[in-house]
Amino acid sequence: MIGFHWDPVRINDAVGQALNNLAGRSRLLDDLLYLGLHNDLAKGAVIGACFFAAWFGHASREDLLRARAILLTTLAAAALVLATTKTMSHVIVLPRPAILSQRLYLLEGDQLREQARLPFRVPLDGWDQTKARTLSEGQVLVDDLGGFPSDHAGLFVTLALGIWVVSRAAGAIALFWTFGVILAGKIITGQHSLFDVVAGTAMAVLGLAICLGVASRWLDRPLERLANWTLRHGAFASALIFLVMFEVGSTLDHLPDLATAILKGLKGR
Amino acid sequence: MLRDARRRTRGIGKARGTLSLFVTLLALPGCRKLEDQGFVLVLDDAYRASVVATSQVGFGAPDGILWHAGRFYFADEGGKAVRVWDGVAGMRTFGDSTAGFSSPEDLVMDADANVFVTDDDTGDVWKVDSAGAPHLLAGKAQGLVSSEAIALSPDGDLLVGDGATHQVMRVTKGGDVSVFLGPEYGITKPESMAFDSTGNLYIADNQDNILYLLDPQHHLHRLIDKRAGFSPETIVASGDTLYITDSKSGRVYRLPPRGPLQTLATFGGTIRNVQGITPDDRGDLFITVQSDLKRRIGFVVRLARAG
Repeated sequence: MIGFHWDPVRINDAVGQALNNLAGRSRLLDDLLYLGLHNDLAKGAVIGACFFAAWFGHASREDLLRARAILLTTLAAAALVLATTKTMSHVIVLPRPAILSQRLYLLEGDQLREQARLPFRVPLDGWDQTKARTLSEGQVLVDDLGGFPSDHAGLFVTLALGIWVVSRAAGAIALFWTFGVILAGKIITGQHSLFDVVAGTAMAVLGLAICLGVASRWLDRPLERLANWTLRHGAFASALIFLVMFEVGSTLDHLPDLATAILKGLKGR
Repeated sequence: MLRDARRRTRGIGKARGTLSLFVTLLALPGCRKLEDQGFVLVLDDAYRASVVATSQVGFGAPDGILWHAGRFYFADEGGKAVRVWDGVAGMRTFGDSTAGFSSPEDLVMDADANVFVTDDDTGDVWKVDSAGAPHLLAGKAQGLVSSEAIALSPDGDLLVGDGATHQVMRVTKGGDVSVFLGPEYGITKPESMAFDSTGNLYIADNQDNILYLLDPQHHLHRLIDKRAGFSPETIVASGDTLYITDSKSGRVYRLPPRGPLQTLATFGGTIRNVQGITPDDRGDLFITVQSDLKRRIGFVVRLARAG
């Protein structure tokens, strides 16, 4: 009889390496992975499209109101989860798998502790090749030490699950895209480990469950009024949702630049 | 309206406790800010990294370091002192601020085991004799304003780089000072210097980010000129190979006789500020790190050759 020993670290490494084994073999596959991870249209826009389908895809007014209340709550949950995962990844030191392909020591107390080294296949696309070359020249970003939990998993799983609650078809597509393209790509290219993705997913499930629970218990009426408002001002509400989803599609990459520019402008005055 | 949704997510809610416990357990191993995490990335498989000493052994935050016969000599910039340490006898201070040291920068040893030390605050050049007594050799009165680099030339004189006057001065063992390379050579801040076995003098300018080579015919060459991300802090020659620290990028480089420049390791986080470097007799490298100069927190890290 074969015994099974539960070792999460070994499972994490084994899954990561099995998926990473797909990289570095086909330029086409690696270029497609790159698109799914770095091209906003191929990444977040698909989730945005599913969100819009769920936003509009109901015949009765009552269903529409209920769907929009849940989707608005989902957006709030996504913001909450993203903030939480970003904060956690900034204080928890768990280097990204690609970094662990090198000999890395972390200072623990007064001693340097060598980290377990992982085999790693570098994807053939230009971005990953450049990243691997600069790493071999010693360029390490502080962000490379904190990949846990995956903020992409937190954000997109929250959105996909929220969409799924409202619309099974759109939600299934969003969930498939999130796990099959975005998050699988993250593991294949060594940007995240299975741990990172599982933890990000757990944060998403937890965040959405809490937000939906809070909303249904205490914010039912305000949400209903807000949903009604989106029906009364359909064009304006759609424009606002478009702006939000546009930013979500890029994982909120533009907001820091926008905030910096505004602050600079204010200081300039 | 959301009651239905709550029913649908009830299963999710049940898993909440387990998941939060899972996340907490995963998070526990390293709860600190990434910027507070020191790390070393070793890029040459022939080397292993370890901490040899911390401020707890008695230094502040050393800059210059020199290994000789199993002992480490420190130009302890943070501690304003010159010291010697080994793991058995412990720390001994040759002189500190009460003797007149303000910001010891670099040091070199002659064949008689006299140690010569620069001080970039005062411009002084000190001699610590083999008995451990400090003597002021030269200073502002002789035209030295901000003494940085120090090297022992093959003819026995000292060469001292001055970051304020942008010169390299010759200082005899008797304390006479003359110009060796004047400002017309264009070296802005001679931070560190080292001779190789063939008499070439390497000069690190960490303001203009240039590594110079002065050949025995006294011709100055720009060996590495404003290469992106390169700012030489300390250089030391071991055989024909040059080892270089770069405090701005946190890197330790190796420059073989016919190049190219290779990164041995990258230091980051709290131990990014690499300063001095010295080899021992088996080729291990010892690097001083100034984690916090004001609070006198420093490290000595060894890059040991495997095998």
